[in-house]
Amino acid sequence: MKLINITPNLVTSIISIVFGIFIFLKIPTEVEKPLLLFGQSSSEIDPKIVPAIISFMFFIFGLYTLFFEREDKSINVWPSFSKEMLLNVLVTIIFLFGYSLTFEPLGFVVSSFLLIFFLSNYMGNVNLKFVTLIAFIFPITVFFIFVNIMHVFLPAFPFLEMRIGNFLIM
Amino acid sequence: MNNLLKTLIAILAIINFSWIAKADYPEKPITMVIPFGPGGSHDLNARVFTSIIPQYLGNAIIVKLVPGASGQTGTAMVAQAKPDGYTLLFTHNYVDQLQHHVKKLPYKPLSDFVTVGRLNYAAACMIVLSKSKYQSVQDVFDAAKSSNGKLKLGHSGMWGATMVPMAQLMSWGKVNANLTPFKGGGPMVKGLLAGDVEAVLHFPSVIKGQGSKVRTLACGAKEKSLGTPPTFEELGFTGQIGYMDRILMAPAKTPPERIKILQDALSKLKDDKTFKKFMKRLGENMKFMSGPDYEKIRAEKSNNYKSLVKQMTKG
Amino acid sequence: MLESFFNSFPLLLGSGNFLTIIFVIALGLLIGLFVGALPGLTTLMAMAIVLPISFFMDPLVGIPFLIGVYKGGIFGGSIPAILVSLPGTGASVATTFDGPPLTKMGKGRKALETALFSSVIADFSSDIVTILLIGPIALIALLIGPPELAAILFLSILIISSTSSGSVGKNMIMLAAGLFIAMIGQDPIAALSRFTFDVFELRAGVPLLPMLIGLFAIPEILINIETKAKEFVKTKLNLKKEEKLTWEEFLKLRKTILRSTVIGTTIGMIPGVGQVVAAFVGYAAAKNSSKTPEKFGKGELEGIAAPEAANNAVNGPTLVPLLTLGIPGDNITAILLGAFIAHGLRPGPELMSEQGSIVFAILLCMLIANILFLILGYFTMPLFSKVVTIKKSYLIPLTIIFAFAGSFVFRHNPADLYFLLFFGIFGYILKKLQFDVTPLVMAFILAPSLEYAFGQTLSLGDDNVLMYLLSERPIAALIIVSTPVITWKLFQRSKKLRDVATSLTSSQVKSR
Repeated sequence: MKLINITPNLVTSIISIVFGIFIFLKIPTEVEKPLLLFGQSSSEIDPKIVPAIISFMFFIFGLYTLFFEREDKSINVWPSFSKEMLLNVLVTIIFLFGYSLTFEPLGFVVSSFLLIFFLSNYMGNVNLKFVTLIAFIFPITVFFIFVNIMHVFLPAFPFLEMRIGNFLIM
Repeated sequence: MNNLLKTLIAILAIINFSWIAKADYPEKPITMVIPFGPGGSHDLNARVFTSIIPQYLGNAIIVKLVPGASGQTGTAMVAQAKPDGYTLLFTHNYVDQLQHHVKKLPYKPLSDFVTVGRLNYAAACMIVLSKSKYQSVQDVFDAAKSSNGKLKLGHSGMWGATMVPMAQLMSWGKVNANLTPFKGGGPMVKGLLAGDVEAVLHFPSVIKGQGSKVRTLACGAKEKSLGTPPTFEELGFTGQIGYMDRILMAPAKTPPERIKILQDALSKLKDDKTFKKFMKRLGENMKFMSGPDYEKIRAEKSNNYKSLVKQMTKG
Repeated sequence: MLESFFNSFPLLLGSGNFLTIIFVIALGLLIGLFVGALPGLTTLMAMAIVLPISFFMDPLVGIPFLIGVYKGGIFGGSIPAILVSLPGTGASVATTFDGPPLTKMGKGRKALETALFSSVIADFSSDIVTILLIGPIALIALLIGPPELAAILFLSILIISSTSSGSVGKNMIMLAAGLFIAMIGQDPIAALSRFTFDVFELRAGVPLLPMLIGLFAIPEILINIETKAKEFVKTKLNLKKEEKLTWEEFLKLRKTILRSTVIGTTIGMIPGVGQVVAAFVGYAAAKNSSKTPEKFGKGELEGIAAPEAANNAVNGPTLVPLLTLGIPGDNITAILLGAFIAHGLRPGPELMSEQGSIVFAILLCMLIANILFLILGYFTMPLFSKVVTIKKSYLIPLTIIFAFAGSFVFRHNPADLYFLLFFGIFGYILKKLQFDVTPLVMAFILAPSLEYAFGQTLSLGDDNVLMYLLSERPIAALIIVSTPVITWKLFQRSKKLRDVATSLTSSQVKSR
């Protein structure tokens, strides 16, 4: 029943065309209108032009890809995935998502500790004690350098303030 | 395992658990957000300021640059921060008092922030190329009229410190002109030097560096270092024009005692010799104004900007 | 001016400070190197922090200190780019094409040394050109205004897109995607919100560094995790005999380095274009002139030498508008401006005529910085390259920590972590489907400047832009006219390359 060969380029081109139309339709609601300045528009380029050009590009090049490169042989194959690969990637993405969620609420050091600990163990081939040590030392060192030496900010542990002297360490 | 435990306990013993709030403010470094990108005059002023204030405040102030959305990102960050006196905002009057008339903001500058103090101000001057034919502001206006509004003028950003005064001048002189934007003061001066535009407004500290290549036509305030050209007021303009106030703000709900401590430190800072030396080198004046005094004129300035914007955008 | 130049030597050597200056430059280089090597910590940050310290030093000591930090930092960003595909800045992105493959082949040190030598040679050469031609370069800076810049940026985007690997359609879709992502947020001129879907976090637009780290570092990490193999570096190595760059290999690179130096120096003279474009154009030019372009992206040393040389050659000429006109071109030169001012020196036409010897003395310090950096770099590169020999199960999580910390400190905005994640997954999908993200990245980085310059041109041209261009801006007109010609030629060449590649693949398929 395979009438159409579903290649990546085909899918890409269709997404591109649809996206182009989507942008075009959204222009009226998503582009702020410029204030008039002394009777002339304060914006040199009509703000609607740039999104219009972009939607046009998506549409045209989507069509181009659809007609000319749908069957392109060179790099138009679906990647192959083993179940193991897929699982590893998905689990990692979930870990990363959890890391993002806990980055601020738990502070940089704690969330990084959790990430290193769980991910290293998941990847296997590690000594448990050593991992725990690294998971503790590394984030604290990075935190110290970034916050106290470079004077940039990483989220601190929010429940109590851990300082040595005047230096924030966690 | 026992050894490990002992070491951990030793480490924890050294760490200072300070959940018992200490009485002294500031007991840890304060964050000062600058809602602009690095390298600007705010950044430079801030670096000088923060390198000397620790001696008067008892703790450091650390600069946090949060550029984006014409200052909105940084300002929003301070508006939403805990008002405990450890987060401050270093901004200028156009962002604080004018922006909310031209943009929908997720905060209300006048009610969400209170002034700690004005560090200094800079008054813009109009400059042209020395080899050009313009000898006075009136010459520029005449050129605008005779070219039917096609005279090319430059500025460094919409609703910014060099654009608003220019628009005010145009409306006062009842002329129309072609306002071309530039990405900041540097490119704007380059545009003038290259002849892309005929006149711009900029601040004395920068103008001095151009030496004899530019001619200053008039200034917002008396500028001895530039040969005391006429002020706009002397030329007939009523009201303050071209002033960029560099103001330090705190979230409105910050405890007043803490704001007072900051204000005291600031007023001691302005008399510091090293501070004065560096500010002089930066070409900035030391026209400090205390928080309460600035608050008195803040609302009025905002109203002035409101009517200005209304007048400029009525089309 | 010649007099000032010769006076600068006694100024530098005669003052009792010479050894202090050397020391301070070396210190600055090391600081810059380590800061640049930590993803997320930018050279700009390091300079801003060091700036107040330099206030209290002598000008001829404080300013070379900052210059040391600057040069160290610019190179530093290439280190994580080569080793773990973590670009520190836009300029190091081009280095992530061939760097990581070389590292995985065990040639990490070779790659780092290639980057070091290319960078130093290019930087040194462009500094000499700057010293010799400081006057003419200043004139060029004035000639390039908004119309010229718009034309050059447009041409650059086309050059880089047409030399990307892959099919034309896919590349152009990537280009459109880059333009779209760049558009989200406020427009560069009037700050009007576009496509922010009423999400405040989007008002400032998509943040650059989280996007770059997401597109380049995260896919590498995910691909590495696919197979829980033990070692990050594939082949078994004897650490002591780690592969150094051989003299023969270096000699083969000299044409590439020369070409990239010329490209970088030229681009450096054009204010507003910058290192990123230089790196990408250098890479594209090297790939185009190579007899084996299909090797690029798979671990070709030329692929490192080209962008590294180009992006460092930009450094010298970039300072010219600052030193001669007092106009900073970017944030870094703005900090240098601040340093000058705080020392009581006002860069600009006055400084050049009255105290020109100081200006030349500082330029000479840049040359010294390069030589020092060669020495320092040679001894520190082996240390860095050993980093990737630790077990993958440790290296990957630690890299992730850096990726996240670096993305966070870019704007101190927690939303950026989600941008990082989004672009990470997006980049992974694109990589698996064999899209070349170069056009996307280029479009994203250059679109705001292009739009701004274009808007300025419309403003300057008033009602009749065409007449304006033809009558007052011949350079811009010339570039615009030659754009279609150049693009067509490049397009033809890349089509030929692809046909070769396709026939290779299909012959491989047939022979199975």
